[in-house]
This record gives sequence, C-alpha cells and structure tokens, in this order.
Amino acid sequence: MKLLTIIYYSALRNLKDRRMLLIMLIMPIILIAILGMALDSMFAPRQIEKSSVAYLNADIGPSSNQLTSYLASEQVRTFINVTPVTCFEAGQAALDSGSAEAFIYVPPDFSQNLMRTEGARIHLHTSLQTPLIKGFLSNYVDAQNSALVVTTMGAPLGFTYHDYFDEAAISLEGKAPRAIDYYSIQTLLQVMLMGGWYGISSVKDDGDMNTHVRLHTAPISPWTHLLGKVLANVVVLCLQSSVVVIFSKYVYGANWSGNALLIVSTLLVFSILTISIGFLMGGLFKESNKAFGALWCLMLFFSIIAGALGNTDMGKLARLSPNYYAKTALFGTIYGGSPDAIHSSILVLSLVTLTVFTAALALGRRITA
Amino acid sequence: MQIILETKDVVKRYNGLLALDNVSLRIPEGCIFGLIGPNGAGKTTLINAIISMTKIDSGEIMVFGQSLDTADREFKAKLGVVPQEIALYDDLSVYQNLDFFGRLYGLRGIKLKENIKEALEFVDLWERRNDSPKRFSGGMKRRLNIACALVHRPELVIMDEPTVGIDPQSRNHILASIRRLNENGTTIVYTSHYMDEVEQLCADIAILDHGRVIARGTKEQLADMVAVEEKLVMRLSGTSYTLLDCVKGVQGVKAAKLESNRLTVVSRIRINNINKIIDCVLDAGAIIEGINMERLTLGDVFLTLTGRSLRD
Repeated sequence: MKLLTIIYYSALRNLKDRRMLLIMLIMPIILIAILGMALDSMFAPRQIEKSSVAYLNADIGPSSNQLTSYLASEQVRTFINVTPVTCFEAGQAALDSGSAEAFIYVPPDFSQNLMRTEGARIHLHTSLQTPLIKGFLSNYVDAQNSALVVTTMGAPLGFTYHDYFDEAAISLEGKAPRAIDYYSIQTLLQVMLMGGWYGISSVKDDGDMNTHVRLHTAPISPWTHLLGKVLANVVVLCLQSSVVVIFSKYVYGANWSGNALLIVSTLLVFSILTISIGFLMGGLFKESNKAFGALWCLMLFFSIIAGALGNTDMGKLARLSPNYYAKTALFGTIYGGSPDAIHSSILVLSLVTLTVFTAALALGRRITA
Repeated sequence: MQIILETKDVVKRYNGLLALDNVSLRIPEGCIFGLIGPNGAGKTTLINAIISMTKIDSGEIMVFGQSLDTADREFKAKLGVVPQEIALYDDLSVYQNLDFFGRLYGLRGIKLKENIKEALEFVDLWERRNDSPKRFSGGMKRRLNIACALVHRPELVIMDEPTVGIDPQSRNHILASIRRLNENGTTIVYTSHYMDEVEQLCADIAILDHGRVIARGTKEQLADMVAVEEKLVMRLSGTSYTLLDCVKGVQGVKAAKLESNRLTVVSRIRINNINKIIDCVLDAGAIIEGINMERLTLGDVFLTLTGRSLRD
C-alpha cells in the first residue's frame, strides 16, 4: 500500500508539472504537424528504378520454358532487366558483385518434381529487399498453380518459389510511411527521451524540497521509495505517449496500425529506458540543471543519429542510439517489416534498458537511502 | 520516569573534525527538552544521528528503549521530525501533503482523515486545507511543516529550530501549539536559536558547544551554575543619600548606587538579604514604588559558558 501511495502521489506531482506537460504533450503534437506537413515532399514516392536479375534455367525438362518466356515478356522487362547466366556460379558472382540484385535459379529437376507431390521450386537468391522481383515471381507462381489445379483437378501438385535472404530489414518501398507517419514515431521517441526529466526530478526533488528527511524518517524501505518513483514515472510517460499516439492517429491520420502488443511493448520498454537514463543523470550530476543539460545533449545526440533530422541513414552510428532500435521495431511492426528485425530490435532495446535500469536502481538506492 | 531517548558517548567526526564529542543525554518521557548551542555546536549533527540520517562513529543511541543499530523500521512510526528547513511538496495541496505523509506511516481510511483534521486544526490550517503551500506565508508554511510531523501522532517529536525566520505572531502560535502538544503527552526535543523560546518552553535544557554537552539542567540550575551575584533594583521616591551607607553595610552587598530615583544593589547570591536592604530604605524615609530582582537570563548563562552569543 505504501508503494501505491508513492506511485500515486509521484505520478500526481508529475502530471501537475505544467512545463513538462507542455514539453511532453503540446510540443510533440505541434512538431508532428509542422514536420509532417513541411517535409511531406521528402517522403513522396520516387520513380521506381529497374531491377537487374541474373537468371539460370538448368531444368532438363520443358516445364520451365514458360518462366523463361514470362521473364522475357514486355510486362516484366518494363521493370526488370533479366540477364541469363550460364552456370550457378556465374549467377552467384553477379549477385556478389552487385551487378544483379537477385538471382533466379531453376534447378535441373524442376520439370520432374512438378509431377510429384512435393512440388517444384524456383529459387530466388538475394541479399536485398526485392519486392518487385518477388511480386512478379509470386504472380507467375500463382498463375501457374491455378492452371495446374484446373488441369489436374485438385491433385496435390504444383510449384513454389523459394527465396534465400541473407538479411531482412524493414521494407519501406512500396508502402513507405508518409512524413506524418514518420514524424509521429520519430518525434514521439525524441520527446519520450525528455521524459528522463521525471527521473532527474525524482532523484533531486526530495533533496531540493527537504522532504528527504521526512521520507527517511518514515517507516518505508528505500527500495519501496525508489521503485514507487520509477513506476510512477513510467506510468506517466506511457500515459503521455498514449495521448500523442492517439492524437496523431485520429487527428493527423498517422499510421499506427500493426501489432498493438508489439507497439505497446516497445513504448513501455523505451519509457523504462528513458526514466532510467533520467535517474542516472540525476545521480551523476549534483545540480538538477546540469543533469537536465546532459539529458538534453544526450537526447539530441540519440535523436540525430537515429534520423530525427529527416529520413536519413546514419549507418552503423545509428545503432548507438536507443531510438534506432525503438524506431526499427515500431516501423517494422507498422509497415510489415521482418519479424526477426523487429524482435532483435526489441531484444537489444530491452537489454540496454535492463542494464541502464540496474545502474539507475543502484545509484538511486544510494541516493534515496 | 521512563527514558524515551538516550545517547551514550556519541562521537561523530567529519574529516577529522569532531562534530560530536562523547555526547551523553537522557531525555525522560513527557518533557520538552531544549537543546541549544551556537552555530556549528553539533545540534543538527546530533539530531541527524538520532533520526539515523547520520551514522555515528561510536557510542550508542537508544530510542524507545531500542538501540538504533538494531531497531526495526517500525520504531520510526513513533517518531516525528520537524526539520529546520521547510519540508513540503509545494505542488500538492495542504491536505494532500498530510495525506501522503500519513499514508507512509500506514494510516488509512477514517483514522487517516481524523488524524489529518486533528493535525491541521492543531496548527490552525484546517480552513486552508485545499490551498497550495506555495501561497502561504513563512509562518503558515512553518505550521504546516509541524502538522506534517504530527499527522501520525508520534510519541516523540524532534523539532529543529521550527520558528526560524517567522513573524512574532506565528511564532507565538507555534509555541502555544508545542505546549499543547506536550500537555497531550508528547515528548519534545526542541532546538532553537531563540533563548526566550527555550526559556519559555523547556523544563530541561542542555547546552552544546564544540560537540560537547557543557551544561545540563533546568533554567534555574543553569543560572546557578554561572551566577556569582544578583542585582536588586528599586524605584524610590523621597530618597536620601544616607540610605546608601546603610545598604552598603548589609551583609553580602558588594555595591550600591543611587541614580535619580533608582537604587541598584549588587549582592552575592544566596545571601537572602533583601529584607535588610528594604529596612534600610524604609528607615531612610523613602517610599518603594517598584522593586525588581534581576536574574541571569539563559542568554547570560549561555554567554558565560560558551563565551559567545547564540547566533555567533
């Protein structure tokens, strides 16, 4: 019950802080609108460039000839340059050298397997996201399967294509976010980092207001006190994030669809991380202003390298920012990115959070004791 | 009488500086115990040690018969602290402040509401319960500071200069409240810079200087420790200088002087020669219009014992 008292009153005090409400609610709502409108052109769909594909038909039977004809058709050639290769190694080399984005390989037993129950396979090798190539290939496979079903009257025959991805990343092409979608996520994460101020206040306030004497002489453990404050801050930050999400979704029409549980989990973990960073800053710096200054610098650094100034790619540097992992998880969840990428981002974010949280608890415990 | 708070040979050093030097005190239940000393004497260090904000280097502190080293956390529920600095949440209302601190002491429901009302009525702030302390004067904040320490009805209240920097009216209000609190059975440890407050409130006083208890007793006992003479002042009419010779001849009188209608006689203490001095005055045909025995104040005692005034 004492824990609930600390959570309730700490949260109440946070919610009464008008300056922070302005920063945490009004600022992101305005920023999302401004950036979403001002930078909309940056996010307009660009002309699709032709993809280049290496193609090897090693099938000894006739069934794959249709694929060769399909790839040579006008419909496909408008979007894809298909370059035949003479052997598997040549296709692989084209892929490795970058002269081909993908390598389509029809194995020798293709026609033979087509009449067997396990079906035949068309192999797609690529290290990139190639939705266009995959789309054409899927269309072909679907059409051929439909024709087979009709001719064999339901026999379990057919063929599939199988792709070999070396790496999966978020797919932005084809269904890329608009500026309002991008900045809803980016601004929210950026502002959530400012929630670290709640952590700083939690560490500093009782000293500044001298209430630490009362808390120390009250029959509560320092852990209860500390945990109560952390939880209160997380609750408030999650509440404020929810308001921004709901507002941007229903007023600005920003895209927040996708797996709600993953979105909520990502935001929750990110909240805990930012509050913990705040506790750390509060413990490391004697004066609140210095702690806040350090938090501000950190927020700027994390936001910039994670692409807050636009949809820019900062390469591996971005991985130093927790925003990057939260952003990857959120964009991946909303825009149908690879589950592996989403889960690994959440995992990294959780591990970083756990580390910072533990350090913050240790430092906070020393301060509140 | 039961001892509610006891310190035994408490020593505390800060970077080699001796802040508390074998401080031993026994504070009986039900009293108002005054702890006075100049700045840097060790008062706040001693109080912080008692409320376990400061760890002592050696010695022992017993509160409610339990050693602080081994006492469970629940003993804190019987202890109330009024810190020297105002310790309130400005962003919470008066009622919310008391509600928060009351709940930390495990109070709930009707009991909590009753206690909050009682504490706020005690300091005359019940009508302002929904206000923010931000709008309060210094005196009102001080009163609320006290109420926060009383909401859980502690048996022992430690007050560290609770009247610093407030107007006389608020100060009198607080002093009256402290007396009532004590009358209701609460033991109070009171530190102050104001000698008159300690004189008014405290039956038992300790003077702390350079981390040591240099004197301990009632106000009278302390005065007796340092007093070697006492002063009698009479306002007279129809005076004659012949009475001076008579007065100077009274046993124990060290000096006498007559200035206009004012006779000042300095005697050794505990001689009981007032009747003889009065006889001299009356025999000389003078009329006594007023008489005053000037005793040493606590301030005089303090000055004598420490060689400096309290605010030095």
